[in-house]
Amino acid sequence: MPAGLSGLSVLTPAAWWALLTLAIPLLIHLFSRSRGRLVRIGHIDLIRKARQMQVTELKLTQWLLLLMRLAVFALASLILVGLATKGLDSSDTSTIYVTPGWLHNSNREGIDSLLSDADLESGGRMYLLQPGFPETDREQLISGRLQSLAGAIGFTNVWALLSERLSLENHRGRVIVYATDYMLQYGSRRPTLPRDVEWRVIQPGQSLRINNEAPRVLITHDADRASDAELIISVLAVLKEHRLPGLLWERMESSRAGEASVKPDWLIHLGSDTLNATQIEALGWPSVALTEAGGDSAEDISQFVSLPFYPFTNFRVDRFTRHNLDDSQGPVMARAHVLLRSSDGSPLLQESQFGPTRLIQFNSRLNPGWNSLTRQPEFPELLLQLLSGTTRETLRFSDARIDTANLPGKTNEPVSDIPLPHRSLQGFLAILLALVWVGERWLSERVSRDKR
Amino acid sequence: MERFIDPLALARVKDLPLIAKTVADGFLHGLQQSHQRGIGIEFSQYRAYEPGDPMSRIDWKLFARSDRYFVREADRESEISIWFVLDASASMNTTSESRPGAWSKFEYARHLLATLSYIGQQQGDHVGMLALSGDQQHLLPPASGERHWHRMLKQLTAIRSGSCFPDPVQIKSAIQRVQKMGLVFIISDFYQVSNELNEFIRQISAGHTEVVAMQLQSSDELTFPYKGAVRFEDLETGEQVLVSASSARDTWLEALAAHQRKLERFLQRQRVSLNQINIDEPMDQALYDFLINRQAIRH
Repeated sequence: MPAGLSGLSVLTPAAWWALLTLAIPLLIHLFSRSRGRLVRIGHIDLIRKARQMQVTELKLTQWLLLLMRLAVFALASLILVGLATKGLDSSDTSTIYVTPGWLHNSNREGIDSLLSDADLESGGRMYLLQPGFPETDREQLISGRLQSLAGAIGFTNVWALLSERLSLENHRGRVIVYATDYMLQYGSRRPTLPRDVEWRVIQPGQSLRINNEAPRVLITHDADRASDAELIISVLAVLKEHRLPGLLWERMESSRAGEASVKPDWLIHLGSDTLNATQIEALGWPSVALTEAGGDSAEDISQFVSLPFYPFTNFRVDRFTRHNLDDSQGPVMARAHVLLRSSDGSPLLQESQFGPTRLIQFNSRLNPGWNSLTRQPEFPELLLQLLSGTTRETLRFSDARIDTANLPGKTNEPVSDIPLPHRSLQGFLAILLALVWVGERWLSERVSRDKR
Repeated sequence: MERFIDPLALARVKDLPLIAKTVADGFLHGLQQSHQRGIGIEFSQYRAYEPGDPMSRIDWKLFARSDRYFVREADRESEISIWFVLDASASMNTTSESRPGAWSKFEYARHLLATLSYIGQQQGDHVGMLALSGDQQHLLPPASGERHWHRMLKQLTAIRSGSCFPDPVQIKSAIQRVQKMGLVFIISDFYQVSNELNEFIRQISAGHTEVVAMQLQSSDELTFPYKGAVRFEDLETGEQVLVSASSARDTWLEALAAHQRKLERFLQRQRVSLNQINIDEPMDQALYDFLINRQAIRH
């Protein structure tokens, strides 16, 4: 199917062979192309004045007749192949989809801008990108925003919804998606879309700001955690390639931490013992230190924990150390701010300030045997969020500066194998065929009558 | 109309003398029946036989039909020379496509010439013939008698039309012979490539000669009944023009009318009487109309 006809499909592709019948009128035209019957007259001057215009008219009639005959056979073929439109809607007007994230972070000016795009007076439509795709208007947008702020609107996998919607509806007009840059955070799970969309993306979170000097990361680990350190290094390599080109890291066992060649900006400690002030000071007070809680006090659990603003991503926690912040034994825990809790409410990830160093403590281990966090596609992004220090203010992992050019547009691959609804065009084609056939008969009869 | 002979019926008869005599006799008989005192080529009227009239002047055929004796009278007693100039150019090959089997202009002209010359010969006039086309020239000096007439028919049968009407310069000697006092019939469609036919008429009519133009036209030419895509070809030049005939009809008729007006003005200046003959109508009727017109002019 040509690209321009991507909104159409056929129910009986085998009947495309019927298009061979187009050769019939072509052959008739070629072999019986009238050059005019010959009449010999005595004085050609009498007819010469009528020449130019009449020849043009004559040829036009012949071509028109050919076109109409081709159209008759083409339409008959299309009826046989069962031409149908894909999707239920075929309006030419603009359609706007609004993600809950955009609604949550919008303001009145943003909503007015959206309404301007929507062009509701010309038949434009707006839908919330939520299950059921509720159609909305200005008042509902404002009330929806308020509900979102109150936590009444949950977050859903808008990619899946958008893809499904675009597959079911045959949008012929513009499709504009109002979203936040969280859309990008779906990483490799991001589905392709069946058609072009225009993006209006806002970045509600704090953008990542990297110092001119590339951060240096020191990874210290216990002797038995070398493999986990390698895993962290592979994650840092991904970040270096995609986020932080100048990133440097160094790995060493905890016992040799003092031998580090450079003063680290970020410290990642993989070990059973908690970092103390002396150790951190010895490393020159890095701006952030990520440590683990583990050891003998760890207990086995089996819980799934969702990552904030990654509603469809969660990781399984099999083993962790339960901490009660109120009974904290040390200064770190007493001032901690919980970033993530397990499903039973226990702190899983917390952040506190330790001197000039921001200390992040993970009450499990960055080890696949303890949890599946490091296997999540979002883990590099999450690690970056944690280390770059944007978590406290927004609790959203939104600092990845987004380029809309990176957002997916049309793809030639089908989104899924789900059979899409069809609207048959056979009735319309039959009426068109009848009209063209009547026209062809009329013109053909007129030409024949003229010849007699 | 029924008393005239359908030209399609005549076209099926291939005997030129028979057709000429049939038409002439029918025409002459028609004149008698209608009691018209027509003025023919040289013929005046029939009247009832009276004692003392020479037996040779009795029309025996008329006697056979009417069982009464009639003698022919002429307005004058002396014979004149009648020249028949036949345009044998290619344009005379025009036929009416709407009447399959009908004569072409040239065939019609040949039969008309035979008929007129028969009438003249019957009157005792000297009849001669000059057939002209670009590549041939047939000249038969005027003489009287039926044998001469048959000689003329034999020559007439041998003539083939083709090419254009010749330049008068090329036929100067022939023109000089025709210019002598007498009556000249020019049988033509009066279509010409340049101005050769007009020049010929100008030279002929300059002498002490009465010139009668017999313009042959076809029904198709006059009504332009063509429809659909038609490729017209000029019989003399071979030039072709493709048109949608129904749309070109008005243009044709306007051009034909303009051509006719121009011809009439020219012939009028040359004191040449013009007789338009439709080749798809009965020849005897055309002769009848011609004589009526001629009578009206003389009176």
